[in-house]
Amino acid sequence: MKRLQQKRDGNIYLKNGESLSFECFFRENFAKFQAFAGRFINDPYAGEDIVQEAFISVWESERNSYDSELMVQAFIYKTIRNKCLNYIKYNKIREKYSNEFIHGRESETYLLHSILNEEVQHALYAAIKKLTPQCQIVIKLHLEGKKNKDIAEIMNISEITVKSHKMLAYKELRAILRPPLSLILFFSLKKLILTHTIPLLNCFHRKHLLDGGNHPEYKNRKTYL
Amino acid sequence: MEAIIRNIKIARLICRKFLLGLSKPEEQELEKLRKHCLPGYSGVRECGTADWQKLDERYGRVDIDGKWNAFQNRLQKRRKHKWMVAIGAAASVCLLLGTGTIIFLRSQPEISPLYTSGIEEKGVYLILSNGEKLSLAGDRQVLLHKVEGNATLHQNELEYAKKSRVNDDTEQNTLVIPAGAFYRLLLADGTRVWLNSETQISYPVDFVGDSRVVSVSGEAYFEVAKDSEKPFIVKTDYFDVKVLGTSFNINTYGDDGKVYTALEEGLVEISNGRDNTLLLKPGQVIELDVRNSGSIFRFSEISTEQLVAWKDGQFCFRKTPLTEILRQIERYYDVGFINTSAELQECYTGTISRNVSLEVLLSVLQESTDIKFKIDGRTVYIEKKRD
Repeated sequence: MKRLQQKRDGNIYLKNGESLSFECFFRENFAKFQAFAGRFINDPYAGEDIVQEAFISVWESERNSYDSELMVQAFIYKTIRNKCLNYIKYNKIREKYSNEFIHGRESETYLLHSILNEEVQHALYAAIKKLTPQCQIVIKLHLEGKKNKDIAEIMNISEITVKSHKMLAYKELRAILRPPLSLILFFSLKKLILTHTIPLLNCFHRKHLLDGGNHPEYKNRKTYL
Repeated sequence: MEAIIRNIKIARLICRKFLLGLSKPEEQELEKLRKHCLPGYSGVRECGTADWQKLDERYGRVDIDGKWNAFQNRLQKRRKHKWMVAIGAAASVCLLLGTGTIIFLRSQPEISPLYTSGIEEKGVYLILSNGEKLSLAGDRQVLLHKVEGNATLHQNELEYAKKSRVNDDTEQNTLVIPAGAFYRLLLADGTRVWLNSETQISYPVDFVGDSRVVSVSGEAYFEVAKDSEKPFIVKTDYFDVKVLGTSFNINTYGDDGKVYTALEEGLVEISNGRDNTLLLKPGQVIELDVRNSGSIFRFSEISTEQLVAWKDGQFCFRKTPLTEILRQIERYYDVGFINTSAELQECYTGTISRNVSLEVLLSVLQESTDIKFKIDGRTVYIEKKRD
């Protein structure tokens, strides 16, 4: 593998050969990290401040020294947690936070539980958000426990169409939720290339959706957008 | 780090399991990771139902373009800052070499009062609609250029006038007053707001639409301009106040778990969004215990003059426990008290001007109580007086 010099472009270079666009990574994960910070401190402005500073740390760090995307995530989680703890312990705000509150949030268990919860919720949100509009609605209704018949009624389409939307949704989801790195060993080389490039494509795909489409809304029904 | 990475992997597997189901090897992987992990962890049961509403509220309300812009601004500023530090260092070195003298720094500057005619912009800053922070103590030209809406900056007051063009959307700004500071705001509709230390207020630079809404956290006194067509609503974390043309004080510090609204003139309706609504008459003070989620509004023992005194530059105590007195002092002078031996249960009554230095104030307290104060920088030590 070629050894990359310290570049100052907008990318993070990982030791396994992948590269992440910093801006993409920022846009994908900011809301998640902000919600995570909210588990430690109550002030949303201070929370946002801390998340911004964490991203700055990544930007200013050795951007080709991270092993994997997971390492970058872990680094940011740790940074945010430390800054939050500093904020509640050493700020003038200290009197508003009781000792129990602070001790609770200092523990390793609290950190890991918070990360786990935040990651699960956000992974669900992000995956569903990436689906095409019709598929999104079908999946959201499905997760609410609605049967195909009901979904067809609500969306004013046939059951067959619902089924095909679902099939499409699952196909998209399989691409979106690429398996964790350790499982790549089980897949063929071809799939390996596919799983690496699709996440980057997903980012651009999403951007396109943000710029472009007018999502048809189903009149007289609850909007799911 | 390892544990964190493990948990992220588990989370992603759980999500995949929930949406698509896991293959045999994936299940095995999940089990293997879980074994290393936290006891008492419930896993998939945690996301038995994906409540889209909640997820969207949690992640979908973020203006990500705004955040990205704010991030880039931050980067810009950092570069500038590094430049300036370099220049500053160079300049000061030159000065030293040039003059050949050593300048003694003044030791222990006196902690002065803030209220000298209400001037003290120390640390007050404005958060613009794009997330950018603007310090109001900075360069005036820069400020006027960047500030949104039709705003004028006075000595200790930010004043907004109605825009000549009517826009459909209007920018939301937030004014942040840290401890030790004090400020005034004149909103576009003519409403006057006094802001105490450790307070934040979020407001639109101009009022369009059929109501006037601001959000407050901390303590603020309002003199609302009359507009019968557009009710004025103040939102806080604990309750909303709907104003029917009037003067009142809102306190959401949460000291001792209580928040207050005091009415001087007019009429307000206060609600906490849970079918708990009350109409306030002049001279009445409402308190809410925020430690208790089921609590309802109660009429308070505290008088309006006690709660509103700060706006006229006074401390007003009426059988106030010493703990509360010291807390108000901490906030106003931006100091911290450390108690070594005294008991702070005693209550005191009295009115003291805020326009005095901390030393003077504490000496007055020292005379009237059996407590001794010792000032050390921004910390004050409390001791019981020995007989």
